Amino acid sequence: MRRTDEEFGAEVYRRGDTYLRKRRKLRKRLITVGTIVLLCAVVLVPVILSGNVPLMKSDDKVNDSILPESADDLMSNSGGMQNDFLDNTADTEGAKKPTTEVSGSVTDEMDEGQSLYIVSVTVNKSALLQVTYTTGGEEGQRLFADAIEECLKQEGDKELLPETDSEDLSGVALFSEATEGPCVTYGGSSFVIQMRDEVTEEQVHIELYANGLWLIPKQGTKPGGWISLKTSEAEMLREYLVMWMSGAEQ
Amino acid sequence: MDNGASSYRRFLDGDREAFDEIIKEYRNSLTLFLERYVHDMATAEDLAIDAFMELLVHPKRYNFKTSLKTYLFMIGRSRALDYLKHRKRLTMISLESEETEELPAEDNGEWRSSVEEAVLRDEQKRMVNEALDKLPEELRLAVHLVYFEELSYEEAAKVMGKKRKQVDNLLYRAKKELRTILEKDGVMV
Repeated sequence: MRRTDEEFGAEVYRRGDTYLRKRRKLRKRLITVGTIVLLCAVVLVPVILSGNVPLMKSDDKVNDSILPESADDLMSNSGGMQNDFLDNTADTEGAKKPTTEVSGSVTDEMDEGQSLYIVSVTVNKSALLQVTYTTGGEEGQRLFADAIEECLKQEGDKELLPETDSEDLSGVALFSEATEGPCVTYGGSSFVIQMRDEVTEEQVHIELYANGLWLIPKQGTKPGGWISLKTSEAEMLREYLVMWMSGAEQ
Repeated sequence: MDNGASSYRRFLDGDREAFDEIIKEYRNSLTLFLERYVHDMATAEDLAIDAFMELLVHPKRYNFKTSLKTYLFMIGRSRALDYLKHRKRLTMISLESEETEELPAEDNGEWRSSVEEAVLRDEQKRMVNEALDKLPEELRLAVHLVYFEELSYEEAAKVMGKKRKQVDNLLYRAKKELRTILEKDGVMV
């Protein structure tokens, strides 16, 4: 039926009120959603930019890529100082530039009649590093064997067992930021070791562990290369090393 | 007469009664105009309410460059076209739908007559109005706006979304056809 003027007017106002109420509700909802999205962006963007999220996601891949396939591979790849670890990480990190850098130098010293190589390492962020160095002494042999044994306990991978009767045996030293000598620290998104040019194959044989696993160095490259590790690798390595150190003290 | 602009200004200044005046002034003419699109008085009135509602909730959209009546008719036309588009889609979806919201023809005719009576007080206009139904839609709308609503050609063109020249042509053709129809009905033109 036809509405009277009053009814018509009342209907106009009623619809107007309904429309405005809906619009207000919609605006509120939009503002809420927008705020949530903004907050997420504020929280996530720095995390993503710092590289933590993609690195964590690729942890499994990294572990696979650094795992030697067999003891033969492991031993055959444990070459001298000319080994460059760069290509180990190129696969896992892609074109991403490491954010933490570690520079290192190696000097030859005598310690209680044993020849030791002291590796000084400086990192620009807190990082964990495990370096094995060849001494050929009995103590080095024991330490190295312990380290590998501990590594096997951690990973349960028999393939990692090196030939302990080899003449060239290694000790393990741990280094953290701006320090010299064994110690443990962790953190940072990744770290890099630059081998100084003066370090030659004759001086020292350095290899690197990550996650308690031996990183396979690439043969035939010159010193001065870069090594980088993921944070998660460093964290696992820290746990392993702490265990190893407490074991070594006893 | 400023075709409602001063009332609307008062409404914007906070005088709600001014909006009631606008409703009273234009509801019938707008409803009748929209009925020419939708051919149903109930729907036309519904669309007219929507048009007024838009005027109410979006006060800043009207820029006072055209008359309020023209603006209101433009809103109404837009609503009517949306409605027709929507109804067409619905019809396509359910061709066999038997439900219809339209009024029975008798009620609609009665309702329409009462609105026409309110809008078309002039006898001659009523005669033209009857003949108008026999014209094609575009001609009918052009005549309605210019002849019944007394809008200028420019305003009618704005409401119809056409150029002034096109409205000229439509009116020329409409007059010609109307003359023929009215002469047939024995009305001296």
